[in-house]
Amino acid sequence: MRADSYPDGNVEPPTERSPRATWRGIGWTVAATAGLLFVLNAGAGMYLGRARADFTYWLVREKWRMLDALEEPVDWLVLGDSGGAHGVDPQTLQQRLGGRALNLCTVVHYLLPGDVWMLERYIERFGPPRGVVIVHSYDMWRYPEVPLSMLAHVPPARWQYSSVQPNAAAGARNQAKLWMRRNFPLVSQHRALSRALRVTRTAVSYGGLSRGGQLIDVQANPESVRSHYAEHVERLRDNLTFRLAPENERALEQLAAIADAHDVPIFLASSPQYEGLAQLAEYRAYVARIASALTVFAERHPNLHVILPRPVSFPADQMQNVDHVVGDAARRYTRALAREIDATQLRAGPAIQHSQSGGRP
Amino acid sequence: MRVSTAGRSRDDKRSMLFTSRVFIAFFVLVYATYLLLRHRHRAQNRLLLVASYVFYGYWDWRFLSLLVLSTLVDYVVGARMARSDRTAVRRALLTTSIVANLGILATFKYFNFFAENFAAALGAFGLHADFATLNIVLPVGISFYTFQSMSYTIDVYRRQLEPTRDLLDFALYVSFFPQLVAGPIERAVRLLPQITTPRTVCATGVNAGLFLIVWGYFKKVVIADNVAVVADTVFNNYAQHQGLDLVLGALAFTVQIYCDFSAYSDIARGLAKLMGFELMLNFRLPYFARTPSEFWQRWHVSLSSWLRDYLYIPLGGNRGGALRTNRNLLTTMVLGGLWHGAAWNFVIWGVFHGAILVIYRGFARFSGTVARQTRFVQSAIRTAQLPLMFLLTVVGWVIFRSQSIEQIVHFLTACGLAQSSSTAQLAADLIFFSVPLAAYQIAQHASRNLLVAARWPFVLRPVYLAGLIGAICVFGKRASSEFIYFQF
Repeated sequence: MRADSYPDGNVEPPTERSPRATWRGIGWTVAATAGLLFVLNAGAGMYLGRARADFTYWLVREKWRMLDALEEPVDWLVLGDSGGAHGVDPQTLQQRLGGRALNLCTVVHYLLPGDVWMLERYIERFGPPRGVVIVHSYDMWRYPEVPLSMLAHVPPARWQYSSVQPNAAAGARNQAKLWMRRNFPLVSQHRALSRALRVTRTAVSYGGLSRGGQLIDVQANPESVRSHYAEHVERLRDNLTFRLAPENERALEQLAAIADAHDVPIFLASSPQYEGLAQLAEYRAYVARIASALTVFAERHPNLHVILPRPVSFPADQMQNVDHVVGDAARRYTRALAREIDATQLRAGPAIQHSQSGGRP
Repeated sequence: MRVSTAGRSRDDKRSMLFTSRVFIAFFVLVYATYLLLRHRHRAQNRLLLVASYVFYGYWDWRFLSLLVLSTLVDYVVGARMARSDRTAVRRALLTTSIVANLGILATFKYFNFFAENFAAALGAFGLHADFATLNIVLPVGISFYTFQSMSYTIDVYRRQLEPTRDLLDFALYVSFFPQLVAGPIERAVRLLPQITTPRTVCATGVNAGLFLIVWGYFKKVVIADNVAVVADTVFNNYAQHQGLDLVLGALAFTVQIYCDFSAYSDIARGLAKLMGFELMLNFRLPYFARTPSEFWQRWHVSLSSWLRDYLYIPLGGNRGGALRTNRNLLTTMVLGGLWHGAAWNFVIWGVFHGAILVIYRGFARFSGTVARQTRFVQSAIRTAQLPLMFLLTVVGWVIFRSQSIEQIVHFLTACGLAQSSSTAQLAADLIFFSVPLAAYQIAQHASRNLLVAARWPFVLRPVYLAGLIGAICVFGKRASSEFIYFQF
């Protein structure tokens, strides 16, 4: 195996020749490298702030922008998760209930605290709307807390002064992590950057936002619905005990307090659901327990209403996944929502006038 | 014939992978303390010894007993050999060291393999044998440190090295943490003097070390871990893949194993340089080799040189005619293959590399004929040698990675140009992550300097480093997989 054992003309392999270096030179190299990384990081932050590199973060950012950019109050504020973002058509809601509606639904990770922060921000700017509709998927209630990674995408001013403080922000260690996530997108949003830079990967389209804030131009995906359904079935069969997570419980109490203090009706609804899941016995039993717990809570607060305790269901060819409807199915869901709101208002007493935009009762 | 696997897989929840936060925190602490002790090299040695044992024990504290056993046996053997001039005594002591070290290896790594295959062989003759197999975990790095420790006793026996009188220094030589679990397999004549004499942490060494470490991390978490996805997609479901998919899978593993293993060596050498140590070069652009013998001067140099010096040459080397030389080559390569693991695919891989060494050696007789050709013909031959050797290397890696003979046969017979729905994406992913490697290797080859980036103009160096670190941040797999050679 030695080169001199075989007269085969082997080329001497390359070796390692270290250049002479000085401590100052190393210092300059390290400093320049750090400076370049700072620039790279800043560039990554600017890019991510403008582009749709990560759909979830983009959606959250856009909804907060819509809220901050609002120049006039609205009558109906729709909050909640992606089930509502896809499923509630503000135009249809406006036609049924009158006034102006705005869909500020984001993603399930923000749980109920996310809705509280948005509502508090809106009231801070415009006072209470005519009504608030909160749409959530059935499994939102049991998630323990808003994850730190998602918290980093909400401006801290939104929740720092809220009475609903996220657990993920508690403590110096979490604060430090939050700061890192917010200020080092090169690391904290590496997946989004990786997807953007790997141009060879097939891009997936998640649709766009209408003027009213609804997610539109989304294609139905029955295959995804069915695989998503399988995951939900497994989860339901493993986790049958309904449990209202503490962070959601605090947010619910704060919502009730806002409803009472401002005399604004808040309607809690379930997001649209895939009919296969809606027919599952375990699912129906679980949802019944959620509805029962919420109804008991709502009985103590006259302005809190539980509508659509059981979800409106749709076939797979009208959905993107088990709780995202597309196209006309969203309009039908919104009409069902509006019917329930109307009926609840009638039962509750003096109806709120179907007035012009202005939104105050 | 199915291949068997060596030992049980470890519980990898606790490990000091170089790419883990635990290791980074560990090294920062050790290095800071090391620098504080800069005028007290013996204290530095004790610190490194404790750190090395903590490093190794973090995987599994029980493994420490084997490390200690190997260390004690070889230290005592070396010390006793120094006191005797009688060949018989020295030979008996050397035999003790070899038996002890190989015995440890045999028990933990090869017992089940040989027991199962012996039982299978008896079964072929209609005899039933029921051997108990051991349900034991393969200690990480055992193949590396036992060989490193044996090299000491062999060199002492050959009187190429005076035995050390300091047990703790010798223990550090065996357990030095940067290279303990995956090499380079050091020689006592190189590493022991660096341990026993004061070292200097100089700017040149630190500069080179930093470049090596960053490039090593990039190769591991960006290239190796990402092309592994391509390789695993094909290899783990090989029956569902044909044509180009198999070619891409083979190429992906070729890139993966090189980047994974050389990354470890680079990081190990870089860490050592930060502390003033110089570990041997382990990879010297192996995919630029034009012949098998050149390949083994470039790939895992520490192992190939160990096998050359302690197995091939004692067997007779290339003295004694073509037949004996070929026998020695094949024996060395088969045992070299077996070193990698107790499985038939490693044996076949060794046979494969031994065979091509023998074949190329046969063609070397025609080198005079080649030398008489025109420069154009010579150039054409030399140009063709590189892709041919690369192709042979890739075939070898297919054998190395495969889990069964059926898999090897499928790869070699079903590969071609046919495409599937996943071919484009596999190719795109492989190319995306291989281009930076290829570009830098061409620069290394052209400049004949493996540290070419450290010699670039000052303006380019931070761009290079920031680019690598940025890529590590963006493309690096967060849950980095274990280094491939840890399983050996």
